[in-house]
Amino acid sequence: MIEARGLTKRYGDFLAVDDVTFTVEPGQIMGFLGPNGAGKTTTILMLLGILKPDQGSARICGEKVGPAHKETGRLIGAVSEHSFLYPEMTVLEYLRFFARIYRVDTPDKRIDEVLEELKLGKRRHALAGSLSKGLQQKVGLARALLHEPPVIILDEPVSGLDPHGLREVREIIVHQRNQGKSILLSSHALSEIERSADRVGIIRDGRLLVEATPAELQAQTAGVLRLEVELDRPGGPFETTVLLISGVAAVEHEDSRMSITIDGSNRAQARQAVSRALTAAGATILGLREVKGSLEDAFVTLTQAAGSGEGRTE
Amino acid sequence: MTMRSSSTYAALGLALGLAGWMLSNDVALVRDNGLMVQAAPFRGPLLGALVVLSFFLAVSAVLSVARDRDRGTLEVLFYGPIDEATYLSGKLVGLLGAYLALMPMLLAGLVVLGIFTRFEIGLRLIAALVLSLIPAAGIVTIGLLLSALAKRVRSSILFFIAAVGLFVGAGVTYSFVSRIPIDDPASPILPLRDALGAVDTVLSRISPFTYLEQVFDWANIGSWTAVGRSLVLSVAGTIVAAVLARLALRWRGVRTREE
Repeated sequence: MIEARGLTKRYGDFLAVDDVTFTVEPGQIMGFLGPNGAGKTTTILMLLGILKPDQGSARICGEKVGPAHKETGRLIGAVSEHSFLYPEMTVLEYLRFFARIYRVDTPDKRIDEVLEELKLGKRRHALAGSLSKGLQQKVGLARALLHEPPVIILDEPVSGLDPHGLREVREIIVHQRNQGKSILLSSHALSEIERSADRVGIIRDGRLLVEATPAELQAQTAGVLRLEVELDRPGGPFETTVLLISGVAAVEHEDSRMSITIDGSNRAQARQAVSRALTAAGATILGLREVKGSLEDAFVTLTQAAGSGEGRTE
Repeated sequence: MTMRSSSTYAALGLALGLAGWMLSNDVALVRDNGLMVQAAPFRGPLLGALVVLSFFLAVSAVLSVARDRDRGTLEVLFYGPIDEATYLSGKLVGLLGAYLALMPMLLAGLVVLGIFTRFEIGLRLIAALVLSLIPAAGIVTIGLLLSALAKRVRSSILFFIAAVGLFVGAGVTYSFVSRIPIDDPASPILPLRDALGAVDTVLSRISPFTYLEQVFDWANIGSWTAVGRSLVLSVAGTIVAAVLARLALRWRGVRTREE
């Protein structure tokens, strides 16, 4: 079990993490979301005992985390955004090295199991430095799973992975959850979180804005409508026109496609207004469809509502 | 510095090359003058070889922590059950292990040189060679301290250059100033010379290279009590440097980045 209780971290006047509290139960994956600089990694580093919180505490399986409690390190398998391998070591040497550190029983047998699980068997004698970023991430994950820890903390574990690798890693994470592990998964890949997380925590400006199931979060954005519009020409020149319509919260465009977020009770009227405004401005609408609220919508809505905390202080 | 690294063997080759060059100078002296009075002809060459190896050991130690921090491997180690003391002990043992592994190779090389020059190494110098492991631990620990203080590899190298500059520069400056003839007792050079002498004395007490040299000198004349005293002082210095290295690593942290 992972327990964060009132975790707070300051860098001078900058409040990086503000009173963050959550629990990840055994057999649960908690997705940890937030924009860049929101405080995700700082929170994770406090859970790992790398950073000392200014206030609050963290516990792993009931054991207090901190520099004087390094034995909790045996209870955690952690992967960060960068795999941080020793480039001069082969994959096998690297895993043997960590198997010794974590005092793994029958290390070679366990290494074989992990390499097979991650489909890295053929790379066992490859130098870590010669592997692609995606494969290096998988070696990092192999290292984290080596000692079969009850708690797994993953900070952007799928960055650099191709779709096959992404699916493999997702299956492994879900398999670990099904074995009763507590998993904290921080990722920018919202679709991955949506597919695998049991609960989602969204952090912004150092504060945990919400902690809920993905379904609960999507329900919170039920009042939000997203329109995907295909035009006969680039959408850029029409952005201001659309933004001026009452109820339109955000507009994004890429070539001739526009994504329009409508917030408000009278969505049908807003939809008609968008259609009329675009036509009046000279654009021909080739396609228009409503998109069901996703975790991404919930994330964008919640984090936009919280505003920007650039240079946030106490 | 690992036994798989080619630079380790380059350092061994350099150490043996220096020893061979020093011995060949002695042989040339005998050839030119027909006489050389020296109780232990291998004392200088062996000490020179060990200074080269120890210097290489110090550079390896200076780079080690900062490099691990720079490439993120230090952070990954600290995810697990590793703390500052365990990590630094591991580095110390690893580097001393490599030094220990080089000893028989160095000795074999010196024996070969002895066969060519017909000089004998002697058991006392072989004992000094083995005991040099203790001052070498001090050299490694000071290197680890500098490395723990530095945020990145580049700054660790600058720290090392500054430290070497301080130790060597103080001695050279004191020696230079001492040679300036002074007729006037009110000359400002006199207090400067005294100050430089004090600095040089303090630095030589701190320097593990001083204890390395002392061990050789005392062992060479069979003064084992003095050897023991130098070793005890060297161990004490190593402990102080190790405690400071641990504090430095905790203060500096395991990451180069802040979130």
